[in-house]
Amino acid sequence: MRRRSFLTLPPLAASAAAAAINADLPKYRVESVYKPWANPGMPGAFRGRVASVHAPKSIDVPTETVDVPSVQEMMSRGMLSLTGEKELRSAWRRFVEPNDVVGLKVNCSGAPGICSHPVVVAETVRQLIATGVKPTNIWIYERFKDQMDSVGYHKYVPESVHILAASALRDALNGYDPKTYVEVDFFGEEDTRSNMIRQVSENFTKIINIPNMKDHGASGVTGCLKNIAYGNFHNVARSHRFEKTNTFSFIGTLAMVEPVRSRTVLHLMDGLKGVWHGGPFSPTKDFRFYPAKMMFGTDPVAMDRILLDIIEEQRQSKGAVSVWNRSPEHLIKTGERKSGPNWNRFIREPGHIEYAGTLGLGEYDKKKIDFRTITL
Amino acid sequence: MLALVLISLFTEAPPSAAPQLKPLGIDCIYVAPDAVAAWTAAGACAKPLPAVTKLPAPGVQYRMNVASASNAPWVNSNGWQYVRGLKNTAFVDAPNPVLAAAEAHAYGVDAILKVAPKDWPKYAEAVKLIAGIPASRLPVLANIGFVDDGSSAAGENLNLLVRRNLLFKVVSAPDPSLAVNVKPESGDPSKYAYEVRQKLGDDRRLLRIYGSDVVIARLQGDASGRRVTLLNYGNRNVEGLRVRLLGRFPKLQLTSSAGPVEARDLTVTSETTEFSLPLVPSYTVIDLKP
Repeated sequence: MRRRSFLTLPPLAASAAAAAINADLPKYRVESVYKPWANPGMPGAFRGRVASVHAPKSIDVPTETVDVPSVQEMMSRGMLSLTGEKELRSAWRRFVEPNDVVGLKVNCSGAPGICSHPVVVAETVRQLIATGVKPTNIWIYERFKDQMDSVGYHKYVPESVHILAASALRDALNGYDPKTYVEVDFFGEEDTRSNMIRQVSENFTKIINIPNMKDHGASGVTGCLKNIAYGNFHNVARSHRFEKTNTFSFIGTLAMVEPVRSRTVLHLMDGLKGVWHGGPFSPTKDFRFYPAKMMFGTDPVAMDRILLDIIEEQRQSKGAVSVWNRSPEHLIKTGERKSGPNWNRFIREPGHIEYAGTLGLGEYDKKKIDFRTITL
Repeated sequence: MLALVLISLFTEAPPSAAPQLKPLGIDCIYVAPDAVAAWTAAGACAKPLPAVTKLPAPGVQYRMNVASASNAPWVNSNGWQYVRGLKNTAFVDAPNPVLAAAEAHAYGVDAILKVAPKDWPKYAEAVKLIAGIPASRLPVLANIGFVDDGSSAAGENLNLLVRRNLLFKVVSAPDPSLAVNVKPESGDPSKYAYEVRQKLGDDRRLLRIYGSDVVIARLQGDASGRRVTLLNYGNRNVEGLRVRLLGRFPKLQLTSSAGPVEARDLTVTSETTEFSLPLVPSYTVIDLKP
């Protein structure tokens, strides 16, 4: 059933994790009229640099209450550390101009248990407004309305800030750009197109990505790349079937599509809470943990490389199998009802991060990552 | 061809329901032979049900795919039986009378619909809609020839070809004028349909649908233009559909069971025409001109 073709993109560099499946990539066709910027937003001005701020007081673990002043301080210190600027306004001006139309790509796939926290989003909005961006030119957006509604971002930001869900109904194509898409046949599915959110292609001049720190049953982890890729396109769940997922190459391919690649200028990873198994969803606290961290960068590959270690370390501490484990022994077979941190629904593909690096989205090699840590 | 289609109503309701018919513009109905006298006495034009071929209600069932987070819709379409040809007049259980009427109309067959009295207004609307669709004498377009041997396996093959929008003609022998000719095969019909699709190649498909798994299309045409009929088998309107046709057709006219709907984002190249529909109800007919 599957089309076995070589990808029309650069081959992956040799690596233990990825080489085994490199020869089995789907054939992608990208349709976009948008040209890349001379210096695309990804990996951006700070390739290989990740600023991480840890603030134990930022979240009260038993109640999951977030401390607003702590988050504001984390974001201030993180932005200064990332940019090397002395003034916060200057730091933000590295990424946005007053006349920009800014989309804030939040992650609500695990909402309301875990999502881009409203306090983080609200502080981002506050900083954008302080930088001169009009509230009416700020759009908090996500794909699915039901997930977004469960968060209630509107309660945290000025009324004139837009809250946009691209799909009122899960499979609705309205809200997506018919002329900007990736075409690929993964498993013989009839609808072979994944279209970009229309506001992203036609309206936003800048995008700020606000993912979470989460494990992901298909892609291994979900951080910057997954949120900016699957989170900006329609009809992406088709990339998984039975134990096979195509997240390995699809995530990077989607993130490369213009104008997403050029306009995504900043990633603010919300790690106040995290999910170490069962992601992207988190209906109960069973697999939640509380890093009380935020990471800042323009390089989604470098940030997700750090995230891999965070999730892997947490899984190890809980005695769970590695995110890199591809063993059939740990796969849930069709019809089986198994759960727990040593059972995988899909063969996970954490190699998607390195693959995205080979496409030019950022730095995967930890030795080349300038990882700056601050503890408040 | 579509102008000749006759859609009729059958009911098992008691004759006391007769007064509901005339206000809805329903002149005559079919009833069981032993009920004709009572219905006639109640003032209705009632005819005995003739010999019919019973068909299931068109629609969709959502079945959870155990290996995926998504719902895999299962479309119940009578299209393949209409294409193959029926021995008698189609008799269709019609909890959704608009879809059942539209399906028969799209395939150009007469049909008697079994409709509950509560749904008679919808039936009347459907008949009115169909009567208002401009007649078309355009031939059915297909570039796959299916050599039907009449077997049940062939029926399954045809069913999946219809549901995958692989446009075919039933032929008695391979037709060299068609891009691909295929024979029936037993086994997994979904796999069969995919192999036919691969054999043809997506680029050569006369029509493609993006944005829904529950919309089935029919295509007619000649040098004067194209007619696309879209049947939405789902339980609700499809919010956004992209249609791709081979050929250059910049002028569109649209009739929809949801009332006025305008096509958007028309893209016409020398080889293809694409357009989007913001709303796709049970029945949509699009006429395109070069």
